[in-house]
Amino acid sequence: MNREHVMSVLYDVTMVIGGEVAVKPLLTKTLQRLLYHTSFPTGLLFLDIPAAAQGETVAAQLAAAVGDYELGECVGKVIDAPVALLHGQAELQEHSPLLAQLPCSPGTYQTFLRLPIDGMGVILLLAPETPHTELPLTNVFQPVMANLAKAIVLCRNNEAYTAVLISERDVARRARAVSEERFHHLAAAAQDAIIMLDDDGRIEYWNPSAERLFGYGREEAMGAQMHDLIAPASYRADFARGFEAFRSSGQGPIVGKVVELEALRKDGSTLPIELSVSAMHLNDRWHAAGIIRDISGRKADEAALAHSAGQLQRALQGVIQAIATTIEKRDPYTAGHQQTTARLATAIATEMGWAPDRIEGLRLGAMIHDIGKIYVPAEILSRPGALTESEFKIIKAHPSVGYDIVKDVEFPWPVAAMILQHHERLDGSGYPAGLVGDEIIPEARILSVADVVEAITSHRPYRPALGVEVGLAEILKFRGTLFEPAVVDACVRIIREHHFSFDPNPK
Amino acid sequence: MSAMAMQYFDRVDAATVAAVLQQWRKAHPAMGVLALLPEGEKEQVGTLQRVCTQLNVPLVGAVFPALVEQGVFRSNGVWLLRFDAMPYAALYENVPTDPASLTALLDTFTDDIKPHINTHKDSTLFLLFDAMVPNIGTMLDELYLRLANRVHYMGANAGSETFQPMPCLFDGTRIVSNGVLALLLKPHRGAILEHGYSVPQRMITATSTVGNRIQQIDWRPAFEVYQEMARAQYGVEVTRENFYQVAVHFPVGIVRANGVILVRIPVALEEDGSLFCVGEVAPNSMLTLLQAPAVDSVHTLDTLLSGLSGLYGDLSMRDLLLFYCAGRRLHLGVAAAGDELRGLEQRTAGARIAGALSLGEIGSTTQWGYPLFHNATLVASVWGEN
Repeated sequence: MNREHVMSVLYDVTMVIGGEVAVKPLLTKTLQRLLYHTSFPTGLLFLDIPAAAQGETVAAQLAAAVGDYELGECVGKVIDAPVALLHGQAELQEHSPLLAQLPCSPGTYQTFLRLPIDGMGVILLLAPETPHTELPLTNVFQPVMANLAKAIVLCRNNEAYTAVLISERDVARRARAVSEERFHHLAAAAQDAIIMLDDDGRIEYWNPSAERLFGYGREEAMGAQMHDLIAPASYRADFARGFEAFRSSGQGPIVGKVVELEALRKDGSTLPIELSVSAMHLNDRWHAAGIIRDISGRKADEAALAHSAGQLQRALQGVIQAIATTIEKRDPYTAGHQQTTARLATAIATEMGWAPDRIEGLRLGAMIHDIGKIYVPAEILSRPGALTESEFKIIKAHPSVGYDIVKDVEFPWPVAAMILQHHERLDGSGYPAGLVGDEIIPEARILSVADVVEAITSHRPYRPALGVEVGLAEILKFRGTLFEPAVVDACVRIIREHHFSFDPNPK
Repeated sequence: MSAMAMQYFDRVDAATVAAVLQQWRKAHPAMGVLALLPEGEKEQVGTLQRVCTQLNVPLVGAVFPALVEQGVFRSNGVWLLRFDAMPYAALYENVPTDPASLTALLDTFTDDIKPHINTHKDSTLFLLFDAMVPNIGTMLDELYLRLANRVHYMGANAGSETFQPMPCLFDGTRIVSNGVLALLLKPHRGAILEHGYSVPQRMITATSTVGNRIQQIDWRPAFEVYQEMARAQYGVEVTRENFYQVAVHFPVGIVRANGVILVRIPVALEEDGSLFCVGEVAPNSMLTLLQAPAVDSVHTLDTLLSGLSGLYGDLSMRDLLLFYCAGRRLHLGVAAAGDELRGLEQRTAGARIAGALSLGEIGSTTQWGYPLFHNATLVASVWGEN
């Protein structure tokens, strides 16, 4: 054979070695190729052979075997082989007694070709008799053996790296499986419906509660358009618009919020729901996860509560009205004054933009703001002429007396404070505590203005009615000193501009 | 096996065949039959199946381009080769090419045959493939890994010489394509394979191969190189129609370190201009193009018979089974090929030679050698062994 022939053989074996990435096929295919080229019927490959110890044999692992069934059964096992067979330079030896020590049928082989693999191990090609060849086989394959040694290292590194990757992948898969199992258990146990949508609005998850809530089984729901399935027709256009934006950005009018809506069951009935939606970016697409709670019960409770609160408020109003009526029976002037003051205070608060509930509290407080006068003897209240100092002292005690009467009643508004403070003035000149500025609650600041205007405007047993302008002049005179400017201004506007009527029954 | 264990009939006549089978069965109640048919008699497979079914005789067989009968190629008739006791036989069809399916098939193959191997030290796995199976080399490598030296290996490819798909392997009830027929002969000491092609001094490199297709030679489209060579050597314009006739003169060789070339004969031109061979060419392997290789017929026959004598002793008066490559006959010419057959007949002194023109051969040049898939060879063995 010429050089070209040798090169083609080496090229062929080298290509086989270079084409493998795992140790086992590398070793097997290398042996196959060597057998193919040399006509030896059997090839063995030992790796990581211990250094020659004392003794005639060495325990070495048989990494690959081709062509001998019995030796093939020993692959992966450690076998005792002659030191002189495994150690040494490349060599072709005929009639070798060393081969009789291999664990195979006696007398099968007479010849071996040893090819050391550059410190990694050794290849032994075995034959009953030496196959014909014109090549110096001990030399020809040495460059290939050097490459094989490097290929074994590379394959081992690759397998170690792959093993790490596989281990990490398996850990991740197990974690994912556990996570998915937990999720499914949670979702299955959840009382709320849990629904997931793909970026086309199609249902990709539908838990058992969703089945119960909407009446659609999982098989019916999966893949269906969620909006077509459970959204009332009146919502669908809005949903479609919102979902179009969601598809591109993961944003939407209800994303990240909790909203109350109406939903449709399979049987066509509707139910109120509370929906919370979150966005998930998976595989470069936006998916939506929705948790839906049936709030039929809550809505019924809320309605009952509202009804109950209404009843309570009406009862409270009735009680206050009863108190006011009681006062009226004893002192008609005071009673009329409280009612008119309440109407005026309500009008002022409305003009100032107060919330209706707060205005209602102010109205009720104003209705009984003079309740403390129940302790003032009737002859003092109704007697014309100037009061003595001691009589006036009795009169001035009525805010504290009124406060004591109602302070233990749990109003939802500061009624007791309104009563206590309705004679306080901004500059501290009022009574009973001489409070200043913001120490006086806003309700009392309105009530004080309304009280004064009504008192001056209306008829009293001890004097005739002075007229509304006198009342307004009084509060304007003390605007900012005794009275809150904003309250004074509002009062002036409603009387002068909105023509507030002091007559409870205007014609 | 007794004398007259091989019978050639020049036509397939049901009554004649039945008479012989009945006669054989008297002496060998557990007998079976291997039938070799030429392509021209493929319609007669049904006749054989009917006769064997009626007589309850196990039948296996294959259809080849032609038969070999003593020193002559025959395109008519049938060879019936008797097994004194029907051996293990398995017929697999539609051999897959994807690795996972092939592994599954080979697992089944080896699991099925292993329990039958151990009763004799010398057993031969005799394989008849449909020549259209594209991965015969891979299958041999895998079988050698699994069965190793528990069996000897021999075999041949059946099919049409036109390389058109054709159901060509059969048993008593089926005829299949793209398959393999496996027979476990025992006791049997294998076969000897020889071609006598010498290693050429000049080599041309096939630089790109995939499976059994050669895409490039010398870094150029394979067909271009072929056309140039045929024009320069023979003044012949290569076309798709005459490709097979021309390409046999330019077989591809894979040079082995033992100096024995593994021959691959391109048999068809693919649509993309690549050359289709019967038998795989290792991926990216460096090949040689054997330009009009010299065949030493005398050496071939001497080596073949020397090997056979080494296995079986005196061959005179023995029954021999021979597969002769169809590509070799084309390359040498019918006359020279016939001379080889007659030379074999003369050297075996009264031996009967039965066989077929094959489309690829399986074996080794020595006993216990690594089994390989070849083209252009003669594979010979003794039929029956006492």
